[in-house]
Amino acid sequence: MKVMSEFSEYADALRNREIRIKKCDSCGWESITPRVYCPKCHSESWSVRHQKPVGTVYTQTTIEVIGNPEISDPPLEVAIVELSGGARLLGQINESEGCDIGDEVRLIDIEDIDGKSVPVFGESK
Amino acid sequence: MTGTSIAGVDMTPFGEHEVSLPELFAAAAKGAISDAGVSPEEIDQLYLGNTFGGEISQQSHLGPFVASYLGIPGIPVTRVEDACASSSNAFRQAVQSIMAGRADIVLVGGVEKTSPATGLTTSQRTAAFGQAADVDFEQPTGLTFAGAFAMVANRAIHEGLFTEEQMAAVAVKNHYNGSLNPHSHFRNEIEVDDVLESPVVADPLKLYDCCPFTDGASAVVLARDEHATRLSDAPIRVLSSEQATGQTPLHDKPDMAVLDTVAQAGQRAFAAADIAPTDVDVAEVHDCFTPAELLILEALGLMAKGTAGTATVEGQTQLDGTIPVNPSGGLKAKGHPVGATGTAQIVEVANQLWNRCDNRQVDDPMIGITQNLGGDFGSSVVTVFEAP
Repeated sequence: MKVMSEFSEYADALRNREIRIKKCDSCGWESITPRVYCPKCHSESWSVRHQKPVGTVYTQTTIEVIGNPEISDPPLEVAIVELSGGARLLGQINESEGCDIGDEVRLIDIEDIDGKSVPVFGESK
Repeated sequence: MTGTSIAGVDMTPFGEHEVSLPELFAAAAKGAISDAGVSPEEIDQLYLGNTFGGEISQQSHLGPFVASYLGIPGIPVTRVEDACASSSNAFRQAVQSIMAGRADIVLVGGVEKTSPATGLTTSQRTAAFGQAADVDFEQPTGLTFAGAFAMVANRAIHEGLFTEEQMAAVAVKNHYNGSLNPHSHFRNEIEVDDVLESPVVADPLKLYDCCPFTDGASAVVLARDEHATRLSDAPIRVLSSEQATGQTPLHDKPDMAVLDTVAQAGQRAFAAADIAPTDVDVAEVHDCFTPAELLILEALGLMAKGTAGTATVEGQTQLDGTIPVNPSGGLKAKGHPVGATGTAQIVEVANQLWNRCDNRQVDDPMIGITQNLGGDFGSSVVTVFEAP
């Protein structure tokens, strides 16, 4: 038996400014979030690759009533970014920039929150 | 699916309560036991929905405390935690327990305290709720539940499915219904401009698009048919109770403007009950934030995609509309004591099917449904009921 540590592998890659993506060897389904079996075809054979953290804003919001003041003062803008290839990732948006759906963004920073790596996206230049 | 029926229901007023969780649940449970005319010693099992006992009320392992306080120790008790869908999932477990032949009469319900009466600040309570979000991918970003539903709403608005004014119409309708419900947390009527001009919580959600932090409890006595007919002249049959789970975390939802988890639970429940969405006469759905009600109606097939906003403005979902939705006031006005919400929806639908909702009674419903959502779309339970 092997206990996987894929969540930390994802975080380690992020600290190196790379997005770790798993691609199903059987059907080609891709995900940033680690899975054991492919949710589409239930294969357990995966290839791991790393992708440049650029993409398009799929949806976003600016949170005015925050839950954890240690993460951010309000306002806190968050977005789900769709990378080329289709995998999506939730992250923060650089507070000085702002974004709308469809904007092209890139990873500009990594926030360390209680040992977890949070991607911060900003305007793609 | 056949074989289980509701013999009695009750709920506490929703709002602020400065009593313990067992005391709060017992008030609803005693009411439901009395409504069913069942003797406490006849109760075979208790399923209890509760989410934040540990995080907010410093009380884990709630089941035995509740059973002991009620005076029915010894019976099997299961606490069910499925975030905001805890007690509808508890109800589903109770149905399965009876169907499996392991119980004849089951007490099922939920209890939660999340209001300012807990002594915790809004941020502290928002943070407790946040624990139902993914600890690796969601919580560290600072995402709140309002933020999650706001991102869904912004995607849906971007795709032209509804507008902020149509979202506001949900709040106006549900506040009106709540004004007619003596158990509702909010009893005040509001107008569209009140919603649009209220402070932004997470754009496009304004304060009046959001349900409140509420304390409350709800309970149902569920029985195998032959026991239900012994207890009640007019038991309400449970035609089906189905759950589905969705892809988590939020960024893996295939389409942010479609509540696929709700659709899957609904399709399973309608198929098991052998009904079509058009058969539904009254629905209690999970309007924790106003856009959720619109997207749920579309996911359940009660409305075509992109039409729920217009239908709401036209009045199709109000008490005298073609499909009355949230006659209780919904989570929006009646309140959302997380673990108590699912069975409170069932209490309302049962009372509607019994025609005992006074001035918020819808016109002689035969089929009622409840739809309860857990977390940021991670799970959903849909249950179908038939009038006597």
